[in-house]
Amino acid sequence: MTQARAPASRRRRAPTPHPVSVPRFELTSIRWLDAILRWRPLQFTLIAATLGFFVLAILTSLVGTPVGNRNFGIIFVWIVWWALVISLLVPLAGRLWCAVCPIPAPGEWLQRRAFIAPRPLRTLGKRWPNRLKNIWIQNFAFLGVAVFSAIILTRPAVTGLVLLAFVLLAIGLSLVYERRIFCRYFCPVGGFIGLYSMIAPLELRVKDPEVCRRHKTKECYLGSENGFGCPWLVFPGSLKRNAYCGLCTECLKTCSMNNVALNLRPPGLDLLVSKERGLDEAYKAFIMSTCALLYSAILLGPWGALKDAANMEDWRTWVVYAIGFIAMNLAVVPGLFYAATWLSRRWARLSHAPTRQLFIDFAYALVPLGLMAWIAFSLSFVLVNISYALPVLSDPFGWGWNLLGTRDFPWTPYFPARIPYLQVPILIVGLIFGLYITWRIANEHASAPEQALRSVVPIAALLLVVTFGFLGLYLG
Amino acid sequence: MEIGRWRRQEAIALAIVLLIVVGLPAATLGYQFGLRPLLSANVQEVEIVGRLPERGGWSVETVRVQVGKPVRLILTSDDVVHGFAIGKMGVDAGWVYPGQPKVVEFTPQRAGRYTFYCTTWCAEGHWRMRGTLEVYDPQDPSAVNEPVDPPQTDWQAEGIDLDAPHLAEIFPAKRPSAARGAAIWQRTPELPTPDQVLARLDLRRQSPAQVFEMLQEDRVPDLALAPLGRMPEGDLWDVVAFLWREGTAAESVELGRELYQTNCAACHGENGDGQGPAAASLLSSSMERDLQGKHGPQSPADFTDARSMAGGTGMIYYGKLVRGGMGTGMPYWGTIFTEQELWALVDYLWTFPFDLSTQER
Repeated sequence: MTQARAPASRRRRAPTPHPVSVPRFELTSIRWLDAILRWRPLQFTLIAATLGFFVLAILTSLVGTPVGNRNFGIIFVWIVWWALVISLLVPLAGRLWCAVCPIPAPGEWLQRRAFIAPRPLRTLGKRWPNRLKNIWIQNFAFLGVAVFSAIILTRPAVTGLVLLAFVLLAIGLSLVYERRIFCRYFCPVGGFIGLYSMIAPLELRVKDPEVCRRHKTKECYLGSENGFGCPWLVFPGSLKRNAYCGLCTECLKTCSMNNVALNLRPPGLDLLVSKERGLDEAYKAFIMSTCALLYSAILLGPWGALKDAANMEDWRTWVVYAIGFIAMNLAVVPGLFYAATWLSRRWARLSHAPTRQLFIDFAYALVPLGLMAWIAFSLSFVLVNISYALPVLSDPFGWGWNLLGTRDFPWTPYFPARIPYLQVPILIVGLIFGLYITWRIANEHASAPEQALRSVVPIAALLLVVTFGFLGLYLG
Repeated sequence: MEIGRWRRQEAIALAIVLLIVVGLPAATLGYQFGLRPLLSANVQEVEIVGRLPERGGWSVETVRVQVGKPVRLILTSDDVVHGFAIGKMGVDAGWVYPGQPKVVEFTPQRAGRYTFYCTTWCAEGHWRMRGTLEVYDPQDPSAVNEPVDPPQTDWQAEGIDLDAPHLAEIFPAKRPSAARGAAIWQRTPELPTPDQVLARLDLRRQSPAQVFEMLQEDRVPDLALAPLGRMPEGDLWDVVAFLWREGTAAESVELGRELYQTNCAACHGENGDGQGPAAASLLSSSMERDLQGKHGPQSPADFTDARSMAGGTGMIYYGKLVRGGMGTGMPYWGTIFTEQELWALVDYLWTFPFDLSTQER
């Protein structure tokens, strides 16, 4: 009997098995580290520390000086925290920030009616709708924040209100829905941290999936007397990517089989896990790369009118800017990428792979380039403005305090002339990494190396053009 | 046992959270707005925030302080660099940078109404950045209403029309040089000393053109200046410049230069040519547009214009400084500068049409 062929649009190649053969180092095999991670008050302790900074940031933003570079909220949120997250935490430790983020904490504490001790959750018991179990809301939330970014990043009061809105939304969602719905489906920051955390060399995984399959009580997901069920609604037994694991280490504490580990592994492995790729994540990759490019153009480029428009100098110009900004993110760049994918499919004769699937898969090649572009872009303002951190530590409200004696520390831009020398190699690393991922993804679809090479060329050309675009902006 | 441990941990955690969420805001706000003013009870602390004129100017426009009681002004700017000074009190804080509080302390010694103002051109409406410091004396409450050091001149009584054009019939073709004038005077032995001539002139009430004509026509009372009348006009203008230099104290010119560069150069230009960075925006400002057809927008005066300057007198410029240029955007300086400072400014203005340096250039 001849087997009927499925329609092209529904056919997929077999999922690539999780690359288990790569070397990993189990950090939790270090006894003291394992003990720390299993210590129940750990997360509360870390969150309490960040909560202090967070409360101070909101307070200074709302009642402190409206001058951005003298306001603790602006400097510590958009310079210090951003530099820490984008340049260190995400590339090296993935979602580690999510483990210590204070935003969901109040909601979670209310939901748990406890700070540390495991207790049954108390919410309205609503389940998050299936059709919204994706990161489209995060994508649009990020875009929403992004079009207002010039205002949010420079006006302390706006920053304070946005942070406050995040907390209130997280609390509201915690009271209605189970677990961390805000983090998982709403948080605009969590969206990009999740995407780029797939590059990180740190992962939380089960040691042996077979143990999880056999273990009926599923404490890691449902919770036990040792801890809560995964706040991120992730079943660790099937966890293959960092994207939605908040590294809260609850599963480490709850797993009675001692089957959860924190590993060091080669970076970027998650990008090759084909099974869980989706259009929402692909769009996150487009949005993040496009935003990095647009921000570089707005903030580093020579176009004063663009800066004025982003700064909402007048409403009409801003509306045009916002429409252009969103169109670039949702239509122009994805459209160009789709065209490149279509060319790739045609030229390499990958007729068995739907263009849509190739479009989604190849989009993951933008992840390393996008992250490196963000790091390179961030260097340009972080190094120039980080010296403001000292005065605002002494005088967080701009009220004339001098707590640490550093209030009058002068603004000192660090290595301003050398920043391009740092940006270029960072971008080139991103490009090479992106090309490598493209090649690996191409091989998932191609039956021969020549076919893979042909399919890579249009995507690689687009990555090169994007890289040159960034270089043009950074080098002036 | 386990339950007891949990309870203890939860209690500690709750205390920490309350400390952060409630204690931190309460402590910071309580200190700033409660404890801090209490700690400085013997000093009157006033916070003044500078904002662009279109956003309100100084956040406190009237400050009331007491004679003899120390005052601590905490100055901040919310937007651009402003300058802060209190006229006629000798308090000058210099530049106030955005978000960087600047503290100025002083003890007012005399009751009255003083004007504080922005000392750096910050925006089109910079001149509107003014406020009043009321210094009251509990022993003499009415003294607070006394303006401090008012200009004493009555222009009407002197017959001076500040707004009338004062273009000279005769004016120098090139910039007169005091140094050349000095050399001419030295090589003309039959002339009296410059002091003798200056004693019979009133350089504050006479324009350079009038002085020129008096010298040319030998009309200076009780003096014979015939040799000057025979000189070429250019040389005689150099002599006029020389007399102007001799009649002006160098310290006064230097004080005037400082005041001019701080307060006037933005519109009138560093070189006095009326081409300061604020000149163009002054003309296009909304206020000026509103006045079009009534008083009309005007360019800032060009002090290098020989015809206009040769026809003007020190009294005219002094009067314009005191009163300001009605409808032109020129602020009134009478409430800010002392009489000495006003005359110092006038003295400096003559350095634009005349080269008053001692070395010939």
